[in-house]
Amino acid sequence: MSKLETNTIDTISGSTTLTLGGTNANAITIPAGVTLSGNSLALAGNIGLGGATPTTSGTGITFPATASASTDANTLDDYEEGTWTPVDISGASLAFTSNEGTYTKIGRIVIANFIFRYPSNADATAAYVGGLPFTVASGNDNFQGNISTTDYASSDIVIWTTWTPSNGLRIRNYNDSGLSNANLSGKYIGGQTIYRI
Amino acid sequence: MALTEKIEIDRIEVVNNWNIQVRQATTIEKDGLFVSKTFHRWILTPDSDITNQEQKVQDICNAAWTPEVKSAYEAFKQEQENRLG
Repeated sequence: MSKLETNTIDTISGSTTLTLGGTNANAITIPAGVTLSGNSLALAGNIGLGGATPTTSGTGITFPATASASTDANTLDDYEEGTWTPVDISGASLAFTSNEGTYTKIGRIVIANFIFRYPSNADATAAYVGGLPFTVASGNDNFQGNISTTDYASSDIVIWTTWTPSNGLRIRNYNDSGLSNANLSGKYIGGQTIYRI
Repeated sequence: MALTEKIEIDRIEVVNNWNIQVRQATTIEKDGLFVSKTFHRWILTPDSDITNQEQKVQDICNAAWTPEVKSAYEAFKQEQENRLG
């Protein structure tokens, strides 16, 4: 077995890559755009983890399409962004309008933004909003969110609790009383929630 | 130059027994080359109306939501309702 010992490789001619080990299956190839300096590594390109194809737009780290959850507390194992649609799940079959939402998932945390408007109604059923993008962690129904914009009575601030069984939002007033669909008749609500999966 | 859009359900997951987590991917290609991909997600529970879902989503729902699972879901839902009010 041949062995190369050197302190410095100053120049590589005629190639944009440095390969140590030739055609050996275990050869180490350092392509152009990769810089090793001390104990640091710099990449000019992108990274794909777990077999993911690195992005071809912008620069970043691409996680696998199917997350591989890590139990290590210091490991970031997933990232995804997309959209979701807030819908009525109170059982009253109300049709929201202007309803749309976005989400960003970072590891086990989901940040979901939303806007929607209740139709005019006199339904006394408790107000529940569903359609969240990811299943809420079981037994953790007290993740809070806040309403950033609404035309609901300003003296009675609307907050909500993520409601585990149907992965929805329970809309409450500041005194922690659940609101009904009728309470929110015709009202516009926009806000965000952060919850754990 | 031809831009094409492909919309498909690319993930259907059963989470915690009764939650069916669905992801729809919209892929844009230019002359056959990947340009971008965006996602839209939703969750279905045993009390969800699934009549407008794609057949493969309905099949997963119907397979996962056995009478036992539906009963457990309703019991859990009632328990949470009583606790939260």
